[in-house]
Amino acid sequence: MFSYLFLTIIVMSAVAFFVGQATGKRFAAVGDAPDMHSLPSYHGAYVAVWVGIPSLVLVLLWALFQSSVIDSLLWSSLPDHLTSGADAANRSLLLSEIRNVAEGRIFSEPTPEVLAAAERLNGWQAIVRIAGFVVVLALMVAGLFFARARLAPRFRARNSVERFLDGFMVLCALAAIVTTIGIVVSLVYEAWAFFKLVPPQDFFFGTKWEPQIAIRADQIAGQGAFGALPVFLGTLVISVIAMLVAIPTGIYTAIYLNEYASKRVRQTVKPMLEILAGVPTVVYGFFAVLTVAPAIREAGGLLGLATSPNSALAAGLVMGTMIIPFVSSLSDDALNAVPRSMRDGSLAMGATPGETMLRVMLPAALPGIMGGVLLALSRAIGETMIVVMAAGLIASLNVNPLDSVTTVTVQIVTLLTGDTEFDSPKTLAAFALGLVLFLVTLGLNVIALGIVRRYREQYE
Amino acid sequence: MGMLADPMEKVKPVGDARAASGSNKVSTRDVSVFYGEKQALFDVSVDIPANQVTAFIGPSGCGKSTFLRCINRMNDTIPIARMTGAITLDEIDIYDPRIDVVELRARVGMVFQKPNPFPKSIFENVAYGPKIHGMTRNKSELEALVTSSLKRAGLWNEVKDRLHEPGTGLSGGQQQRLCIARAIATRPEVVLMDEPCSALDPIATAIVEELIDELRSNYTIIIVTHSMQQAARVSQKTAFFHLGKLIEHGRTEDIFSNPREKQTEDYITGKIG
Repeated sequence: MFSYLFLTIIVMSAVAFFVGQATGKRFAAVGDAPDMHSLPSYHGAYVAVWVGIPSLVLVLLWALFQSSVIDSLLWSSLPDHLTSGADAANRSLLLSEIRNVAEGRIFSEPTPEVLAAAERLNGWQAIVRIAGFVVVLALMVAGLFFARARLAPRFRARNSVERFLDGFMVLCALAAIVTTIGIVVSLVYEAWAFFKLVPPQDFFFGTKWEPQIAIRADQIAGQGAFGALPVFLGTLVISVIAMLVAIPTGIYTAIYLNEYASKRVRQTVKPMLEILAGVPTVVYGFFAVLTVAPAIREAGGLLGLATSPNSALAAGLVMGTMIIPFVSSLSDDALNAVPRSMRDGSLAMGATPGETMLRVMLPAALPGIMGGVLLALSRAIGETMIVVMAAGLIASLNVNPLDSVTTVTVQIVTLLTGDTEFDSPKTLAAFALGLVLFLVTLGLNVIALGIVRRYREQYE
Repeated sequence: MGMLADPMEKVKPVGDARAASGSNKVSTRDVSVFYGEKQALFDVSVDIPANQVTAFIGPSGCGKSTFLRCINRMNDTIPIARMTGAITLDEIDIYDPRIDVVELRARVGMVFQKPNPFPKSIFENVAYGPKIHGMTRNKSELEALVTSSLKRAGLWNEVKDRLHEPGTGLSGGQQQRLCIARAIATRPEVVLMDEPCSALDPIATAIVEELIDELRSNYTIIIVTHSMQQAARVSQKTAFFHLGKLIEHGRTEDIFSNPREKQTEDYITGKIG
């Protein structure tokens, strides 16, 4: 039903646009064109907005409330012996049975009451379908006449359309903000529930992480320990390795591209680096598991070092490679933003390009580079796929990069896959970990943005 | 200073006998500059005497800044720029492949149109050149050099109590004098100034012009300027450029009082440009 309604709205809006535009053109043809406040197409857009938007809002509201209104009508029409003493679960069971019967999906012989209700439901739905269509159509026609009546040569259709666009953009911006707030609220709420079961000091400072506890009485599982320190340490180890790879490589790449590379090399290398940023992380994960980890194991074997199959080093190296483009691209931007006069000034003093880079360009671009590094770091901390595939699952409190470690993101994945239950500390621990992760990356981003902003002010 | 990898004697002076005459610090012969396909400068030959101020004047886009940037090879930093002809500094061809550009630029300092102090302290700005060229043996020598450079640039009294504050915090005129101090700290022989006062107010301009006049005794100064009054005030020699060609050059008072070319006269009297 709704797809037809949407189609009608689109068609009607288009019609309204042409009606309004034609009216506008008539004004233009009658009077002197400069007397028109707005172009005919603005008149069209104005009418189209009045036809399309109210009906769209109505349809969305209708879609939102239709089923619950019909359900309550249906419920109150049922005979008392079915409805009395029923709880919410029974109610929805019965209602869905009626709905199934109404749509012809009969699994068992329905009672006469249910059959009667199903017939009533079908009748109502037919009425609703027609009523909805009529109401929406009426609203569109009303909108059309209302907007059409307001058109005049001096009517400020242009400003009205602009105001509508303003509102639309505010809505779009709000969508992202509201989502973020929703995520934070759910994280905080669930983490709160977790900390009621597990004391925060045990979580933050405990050194034993064994979250796979039994969720049914007959399961055999560990006692459960939620000391997240090894998990945080694992994240730290992998992030440090990744940054050790990404920072020097990225910054040197940026310096090379900015100062030494010829135009042709720059035009080839920069897009290739950006492709590196676009490779799906699961592909990097492949690469880490199938290529890098075995290579490290072999190399470790040759050197006589004990290397576990999944090592922090493999995950860290690949993750570092993944974030090179972040560092190099933002560093390159920062270096580009250093005014050319700085570089010229230094070269004119008789400094070599290297000295110029080291003593003038890099110090001037440092805040921007720091911003890039911090953004890359928050990306590394939040990265999941590579570490899930390559780092391992065992939470051990050590910093040996050749050993297998686990990270916050890996633990969240393992906690929330498989059988879960929302009142078990096992599941809720994921939210506590997520909250910590969120706060850390948020903090890094705030610091990074602050640094970048301070740096922008320097040359304005 | 040994600009060359090889001993200096091996490089033969270029240009004719006139160019090699003793008091000319910089001589150019048939200098043309191309930006890609477009020719910006046409066969400029001029001699620039030592310890005098030479002004390049002319309307915007006439090639005077381009020509100035040839003298310390700053045009090398523009990939599409290409130069033909010869430029000598003390009778040595500065476009000789054996020339070390870095050392050339230490001998030919430059002050830019817009003050461009580095985002460092005032002291570090002036110490920049001496540090990279290893001109001082210890800290006290460096401090002495910075002090004397700032004094010669007439900035010392204004900044002596805040040497370690950022150079970018100074006013425009002070920043430009800081850049001059920075340029003369490497003890250059020639100082190129590319419209050094165009971003300054009249008072700061007057201070900088006075400074240019004082610096003349120790340095050969070449200044590019839009302002004919400024050229008349600070220079002893003037060269007039128009559309990439050197129209006329000679003693400043001759150019301004008695120009030989019609175009020069038109420009000076405000009919073109």
